[in-house]
Amino acid sequence: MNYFQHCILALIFYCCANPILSQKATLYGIVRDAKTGETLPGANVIINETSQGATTNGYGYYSLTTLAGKYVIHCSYVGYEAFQATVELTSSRQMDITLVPVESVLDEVVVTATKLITETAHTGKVNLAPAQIKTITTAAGESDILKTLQLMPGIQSANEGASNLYVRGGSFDQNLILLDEAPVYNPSHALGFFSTFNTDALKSVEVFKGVFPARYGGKLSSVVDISMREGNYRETKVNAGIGLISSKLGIEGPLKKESASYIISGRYSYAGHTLNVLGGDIGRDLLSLPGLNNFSDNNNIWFFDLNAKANFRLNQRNHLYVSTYNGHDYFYCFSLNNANVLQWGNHTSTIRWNHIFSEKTFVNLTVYNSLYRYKYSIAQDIRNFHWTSAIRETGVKADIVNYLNPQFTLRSGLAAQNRYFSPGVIKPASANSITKPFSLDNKNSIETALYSEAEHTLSRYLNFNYGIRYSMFLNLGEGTVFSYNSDYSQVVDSTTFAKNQIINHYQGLEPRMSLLVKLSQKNSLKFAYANTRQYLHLLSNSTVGLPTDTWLPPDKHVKPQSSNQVVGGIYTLLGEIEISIESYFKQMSNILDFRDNADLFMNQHIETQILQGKGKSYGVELLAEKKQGRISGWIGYTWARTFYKIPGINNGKPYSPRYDIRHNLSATGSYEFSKQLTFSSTFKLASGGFITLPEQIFVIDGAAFFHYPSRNNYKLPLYHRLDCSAIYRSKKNEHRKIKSEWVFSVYNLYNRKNIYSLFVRQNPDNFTSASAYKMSLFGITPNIAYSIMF
Amino acid sequence: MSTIKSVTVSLKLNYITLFLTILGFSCTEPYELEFPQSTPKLVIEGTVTNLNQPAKVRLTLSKSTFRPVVNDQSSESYLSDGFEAVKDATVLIKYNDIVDTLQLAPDSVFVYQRDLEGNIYDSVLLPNRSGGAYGYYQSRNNIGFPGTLYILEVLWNGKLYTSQSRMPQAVSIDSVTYVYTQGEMGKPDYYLPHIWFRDNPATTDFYLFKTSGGGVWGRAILSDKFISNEITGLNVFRGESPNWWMTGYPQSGAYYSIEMHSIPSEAFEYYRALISQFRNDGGVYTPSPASPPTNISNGALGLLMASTVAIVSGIMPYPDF
Repeated sequence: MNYFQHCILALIFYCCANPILSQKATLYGIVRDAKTGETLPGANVIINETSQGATTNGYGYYSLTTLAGKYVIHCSYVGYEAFQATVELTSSRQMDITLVPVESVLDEVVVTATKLITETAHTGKVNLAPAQIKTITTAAGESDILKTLQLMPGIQSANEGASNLYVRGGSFDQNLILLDEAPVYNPSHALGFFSTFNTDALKSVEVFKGVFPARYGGKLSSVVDISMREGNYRETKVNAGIGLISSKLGIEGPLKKESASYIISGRYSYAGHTLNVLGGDIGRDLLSLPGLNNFSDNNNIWFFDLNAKANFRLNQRNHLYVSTYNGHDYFYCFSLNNANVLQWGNHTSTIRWNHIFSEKTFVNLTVYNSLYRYKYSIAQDIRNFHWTSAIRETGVKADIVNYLNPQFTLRSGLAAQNRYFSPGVIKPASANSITKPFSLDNKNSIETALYSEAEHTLSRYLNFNYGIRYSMFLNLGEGTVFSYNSDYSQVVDSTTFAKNQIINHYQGLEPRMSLLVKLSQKNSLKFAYANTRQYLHLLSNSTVGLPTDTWLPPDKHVKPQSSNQVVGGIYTLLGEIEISIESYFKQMSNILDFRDNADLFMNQHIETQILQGKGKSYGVELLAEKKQGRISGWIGYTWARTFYKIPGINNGKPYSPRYDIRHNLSATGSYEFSKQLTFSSTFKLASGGFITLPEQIFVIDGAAFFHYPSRNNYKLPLYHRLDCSAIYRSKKNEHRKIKSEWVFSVYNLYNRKNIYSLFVRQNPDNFTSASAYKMSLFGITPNIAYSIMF
Repeated sequence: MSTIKSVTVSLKLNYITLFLTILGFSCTEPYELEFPQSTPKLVIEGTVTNLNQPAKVRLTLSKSTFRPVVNDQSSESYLSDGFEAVKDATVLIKYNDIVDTLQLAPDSVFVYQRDLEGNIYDSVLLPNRSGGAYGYYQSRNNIGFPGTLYILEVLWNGKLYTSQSRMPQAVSIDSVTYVYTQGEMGKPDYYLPHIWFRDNPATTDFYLFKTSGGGVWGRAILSDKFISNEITGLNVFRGESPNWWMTGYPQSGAYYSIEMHSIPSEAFEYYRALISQFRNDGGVYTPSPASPPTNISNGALGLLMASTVAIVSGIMPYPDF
């Protein structure tokens, strides 16, 4: 053997003996809370030596592929101590990580932030933790996700106290609100004053404003993805709270230690009982509260919600989650109208299975059901009847995530849902009722989607997320479809379809993309574009939405809505403060509004009352947010404009919807004074929305009435208020099992009489004259609540 | 009371605002509002009935201010309801190849005076609240016949305004019963008149009820879309008022009357919109307010309504204890 052959042999031997030189290995696993065992979505896992990193997905799973070697792994998450460990990575291996929660920011530990706003390609993304939500004061003293989101730039509220979200010029029915992957159709209790989400049961809230990844679809304006907590895998915990309006109780614990857990959390509101006390002898005689002479103690007003979840770690690669939500409202107010009872409620249930196929492949399969229904019972003499309506959605989703390499993650999936609509049924409430039974045609539809999206790191300075979603919608029989003349004033024909016969269909491609350009470690630019389609309409002819609003699928006459949105922004870090300036432009097609004096009640020809047209919205959003330290909070400002142009409304000219809020400033902050005491405050300042006021008054049949030649022609005055709260935790909490907490809050501290509604009406003592009135809702409103945990 | 439709879509107040009103946290106050100045519009209110009375058309002008407009003739100023009358128009009603030119109504009329039992005991000349001073024009005779199409033409200031309305067939009230009702908190028990009648199942019918009784705008509407044809005791007395707690229930011992008008569909839609305006809350829990849908051309406001009328009246009984 000559020298050359020796070298070849030595080289071959060297390469075989040192396989790690060219071999890649994947480190993967689940990140969990060390105290409870709950998974942590959005945690940052980084290989210090290479700066490669990954963020855990919604189930706490991460996957990092790198060359084999010895590395220091760093994991961090807001509110937790940082984790660090040295790992010998010779081949792919699973490493589950547990993070220790920080009891107080005053504890001397270093808490590193999660993935910064300058490092993610997503635009308009908001992450909220329940702890943040609990520091925000609301009028009723209840922490509320939706009210907290209304303090974010780009997210408006059309009316004080209402939970509806208007995101970048879109109406409130254009938001996809998910609770453990099941859609929630009416996310409010008490006509919008409380959200249906009990903060104590929630783990995380992720919001996409406008440009959302291809795995989401079906709505135009935003995605609010809410995850429930799993419960404590290690020990049983109970928490309870009492407030002026509602009380809550929660229990969680292991079904089998470290392997299975459960959580049950409920809330009950007794506003009506409070009303009864005040409307009875105590209120009238003892307290002498104004306006009580017409009220009685015969009211029945309440709501509840109940969240329950069970979680099973079948083995290291398989997890099963079963969750359900039930909520219900009941409203009977004798004093207001002793003949009517209104009830409504949501029910959702979800089964999810996670499977780790390999170190690079994570699969999630979800089956869910969501039901919303209401019942309005009217007992006015012989016309007494029950009016019911419902929408039920059953769906399945499959998502596969492939962490192909450190620069490329591919996610694909499909979704299919069946929606069954019962738009309205009327039944006589008694044998002598003169009301005839009547029902609108039920409707049945199927919506499917295929998607694929990629997270592609092109270089150290360029991240590109792109995806495509193909959606298809089928309207199925049985049912009757009417044809009309050109102005929809007369029926000219009708066609009947058999059960499951395809009546009509829609389909389309929805591209999504977002690009991150890193200018430096602390500065970046982002650009994004999305096309979205919505195959579901909410017929709501009021600003805040009512429980009696009706969901309907698009059909031959009322087409699906769609939008195109482009976004651009600058993002920077100033110390611990994340600052973003983001601008957007959004065009919407086939948005809905209603004719003047539209008749939506049990109307077989509802399409004759609906008008569709175009919408346009653009704006600039500024956000400065500090997430950690003794002082935390954010300041957000939005300048925005929104126009609708719908033939048949406002004489075909562009007009502003109610929620076209020109300026919107929100500042909220929290200061941890000590381990016992935390102060919070929120200031909100916003331009008034647009309402319709008359321009002429005239007399007909002995009374004055009003002529409205245009829609939303008047801008309300400025809105502003200041809220404050203090949370006091007992000193004994550190050393005892039972921990307690008092919350004192004041809503609208300086008692500003912001206008809730403005209207003109006839004068009660002379109907041929009229006046304008303004109504203010919440003056200075104190609240106190007490809760215990053990 | 209103139709099923109007009742169900009317949530005048939600319970939170009610709750907060009780506690004094929320409040409603007058608001200084000036409409943008705009040209007054002609308002035409035409009624043709099958009662033995002339057809009437009232012409007034709308205004762009809440402040009352008082007629310049001082003798009539106290009569005014604040809306300027139009007295120089030409008003025609055409039907069955007949053209009837309406004249300004007399400014005074004899009004019957009734005792507590409703018996007429005297008549007195009083200012006519349906007179020319208010802008009323009337036909010479009764011209109302069921099934007839009426075409209205108003010529004023060089513009022609037209409308048409077909009078429905007559429906009679079969009887009235008095139903005992428990009073709400702090209020006495009372009787309410309930009417009985038969609706024609072969046709789509609409009704307008006009009731006596103070404190409310005594109007209510009914569509037969959701009701059976045997109406067995219907209360039509609730009325409309900006104060949600007010009702128009007649007092025991007082005279009452109920007019049941069978009306065309466009009149039903018009009154539905008028009732919505009484319940308007600025669009928070109700639809965006809108003008009622007129059936008069050329930009005028108002309504031409041809209706057949059935009337019942009487004295309210006292509850038996």
